[in-house]
Amino acid sequence: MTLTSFSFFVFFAVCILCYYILPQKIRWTGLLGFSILFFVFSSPPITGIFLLGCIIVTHTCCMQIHRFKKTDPGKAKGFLICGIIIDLSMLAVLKYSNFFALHWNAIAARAHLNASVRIPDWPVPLGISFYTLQAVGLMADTWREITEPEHNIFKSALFIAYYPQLTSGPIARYEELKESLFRENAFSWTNFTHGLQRMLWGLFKKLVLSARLALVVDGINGDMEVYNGFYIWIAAGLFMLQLYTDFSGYMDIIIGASEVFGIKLPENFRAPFFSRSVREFWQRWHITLGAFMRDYVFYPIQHAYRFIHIRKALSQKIGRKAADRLTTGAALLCVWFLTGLWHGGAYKYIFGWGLWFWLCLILGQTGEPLWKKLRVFFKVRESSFSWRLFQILRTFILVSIGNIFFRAGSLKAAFRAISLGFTSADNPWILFDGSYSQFGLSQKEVFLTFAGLLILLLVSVLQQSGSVREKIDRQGIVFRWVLYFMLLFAVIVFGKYGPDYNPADFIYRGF
Amino acid sequence: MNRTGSVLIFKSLIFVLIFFVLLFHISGILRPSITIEGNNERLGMLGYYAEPKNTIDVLYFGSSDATAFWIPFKAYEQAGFTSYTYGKSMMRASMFEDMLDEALKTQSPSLVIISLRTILQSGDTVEEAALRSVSDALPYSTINRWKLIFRNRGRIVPAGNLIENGGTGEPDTGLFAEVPYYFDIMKYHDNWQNIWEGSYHYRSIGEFESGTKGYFVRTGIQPQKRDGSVPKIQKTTELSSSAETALKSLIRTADENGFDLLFVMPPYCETAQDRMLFNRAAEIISASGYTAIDFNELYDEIGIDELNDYYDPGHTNVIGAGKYTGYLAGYLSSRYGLENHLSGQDRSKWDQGLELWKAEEKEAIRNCLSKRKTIFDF
Repeated sequence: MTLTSFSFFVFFAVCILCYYILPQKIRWTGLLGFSILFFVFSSPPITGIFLLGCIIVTHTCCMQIHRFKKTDPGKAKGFLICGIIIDLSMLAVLKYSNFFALHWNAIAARAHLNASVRIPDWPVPLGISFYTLQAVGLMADTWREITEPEHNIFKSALFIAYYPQLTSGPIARYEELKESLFRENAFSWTNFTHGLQRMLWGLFKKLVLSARLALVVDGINGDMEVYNGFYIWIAAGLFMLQLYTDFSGYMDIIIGASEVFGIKLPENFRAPFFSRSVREFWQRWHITLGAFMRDYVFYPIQHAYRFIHIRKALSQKIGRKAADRLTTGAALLCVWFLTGLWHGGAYKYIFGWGLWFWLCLILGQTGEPLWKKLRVFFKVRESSFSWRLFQILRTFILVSIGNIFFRAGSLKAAFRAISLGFTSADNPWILFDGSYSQFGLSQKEVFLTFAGLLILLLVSVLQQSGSVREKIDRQGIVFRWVLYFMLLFAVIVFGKYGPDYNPADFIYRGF
Repeated sequence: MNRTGSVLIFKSLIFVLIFFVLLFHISGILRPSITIEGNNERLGMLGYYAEPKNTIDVLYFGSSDATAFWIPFKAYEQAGFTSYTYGKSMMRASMFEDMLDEALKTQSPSLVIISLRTILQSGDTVEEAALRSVSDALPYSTINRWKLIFRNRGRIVPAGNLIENGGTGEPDTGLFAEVPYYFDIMKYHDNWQNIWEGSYHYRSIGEFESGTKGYFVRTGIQPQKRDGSVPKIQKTTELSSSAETALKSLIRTADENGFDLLFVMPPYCETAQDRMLFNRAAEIISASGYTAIDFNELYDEIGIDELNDYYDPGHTNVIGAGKYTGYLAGYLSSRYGLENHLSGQDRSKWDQGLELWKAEEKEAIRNCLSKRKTIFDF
């Protein structure tokens, strides 16, 4: 059941009805019931065992960590490590066994060993990458005493399997979610309408914009030997927009749906294309994953006893500043290795995408003295609009190049695409001669997509000065309703959906 | 409930109402356009609603085998009674009952002629194209459109599931499989790129008359070779369950509404299988006290010329249709005592229409014969 399907909307409507019919005290149980149903409808039923396993292990470990934290920290730590290992093992076995088996077979073949293994084809539970991180975060927060564990296992279950969020995040912390998830949410007209408005905006991004951008991106990536040169860079830029409209659209649907229930999920995007550096970009894009990696990977590495020891030893040899940079770079490398791996068991994520962003961040940071000298040399006025625009465009280009690895079929294909982008870049006319029409987009659709992107830009600009929905709320009823109907029918009429259209699933639903 | 709550509920209801009004109109605009000029089946269906109430004596009802064979003005000219060809290509057995109910909403014919071919050939599944062909031709608001779609739920074979070269493919039995048929905007919304003046004619129900009273003029010529032994076959074979259900429901409707029924197999290149199906259907029909005629037995009496009178193996052209209509109109007139009941403005309108039809028929026959010449000269 995808979040843009008719069946989802029926499911959601029934869920809203049941949620608000139930007595306030037990409304969360209704959500748990619907989350289980959603999982059953959306994921191979057998995979429910793994979700259940994750819930039981996480809940039990949290309880034991809390119990022994003060009296027997060693034991508590044992439960923490045990819980994390079990949860991550399920993720590793189900999601990465193909990757490992393929490599084992390659090694075995190269070594002339008769030890090849069958490539497993196990069903993967829906949202495993997301709920595993939430579960690990819950155990870590319990260990750090940031949060108190939930004594009721069903509440733990709802936190891990909460259905709008289960599929693609955002990766929430128990401490920030528990209040709105379990409190006695009364029906609020504002929450209800704002939630639906946000869902509608998400549908617009996904069905009207992302689905059209996907046509061109998929067309070019489908045959890069033919569509090379400028096509490659167009595809890279458009994929960036596609990924944004797809993923942030999904987030809007999920966060909006939660708002209808009175549940506030953390934001995952904050106008990322206004970022002036790659570092800033990652503070605005997939915010909850970045925060997870920062809090549960980067800081623990930085604060690890051995790591501090290494930094001290290095300080004595190469100086404090250099040692700090080196160790931070190493910690960041771990973060980006794991972020790449989290996206999928493929070299393109680990050594292409992850390494590229690590490199951008490291060069941005360590090269700052040089960049500063260059700015002085060229007499750059850092407060000028042109400089800010340059920074925004530079960031967009750097991030788009990184995402060539994300979109390509393999690491090799990504390098091939980049090389074709440079070696055959003698076809700039494709920007003007209607070449896009060969990917299934008519001129009217190109116009529509541009108009949609402009609206997106306008909304992003308006968002800089506060909630757009609150701004709309302050307008008269005629203006508001005209706006709502226009958006509603823009989705219904211009959206790519229905029996003739094979919908591309949300990109992040695959993780 | 406090005042604020009541106001919010009231506003919500207004919002939903406006939404459905807009949805209805936008759906209409986005549907495949109806050309109001010339000659097409959808105009035939649309024009049915423009007929003054209860002025049709005979309803000729069926799939494309109805719209290709029966010329109402020809019958009017010859026997005086009024008739209308209410048909749509690809109408399958499971659609007949609701379509007949729709036709009976505005007319009370004394006789309904059911063209049997498509009923008998129908299996128990329905292709997406068939359901769309028929449901798209009905007004969005009519309850029979919704009933028709609901009746076919679970048996609709989406275009993507169709098996080429025979076989129909697996039906979509999903819980909401028929929703895109109820709300056809889910299918046709991409037509926003092709909106033109004609797109607004969805509002024209009852405004445009069909100049042929539902008959669809076919002017091609395709010589046929029929097997003369087929109409002599006496064996029977089982009907599909949807065909049998359709026959029984049509008979029930006739009994309940008090009109007469005549089931016909028009003269076409009937196969042995079709004949055996007809024999079984005739058993059911005659057991209910109605008549079934296979006009394939009456080729010579009708005067059908296999070389000139066919558009394709299943349909006559305007020449063949004229011969068949003439023969059947004579039969109906003598058997059912049908005659002209019209008077005043209604009569003069039919008379004027007849004159226009005569001119159109002349042109269509000339067109047909010119094609024959081309074929044989070649």
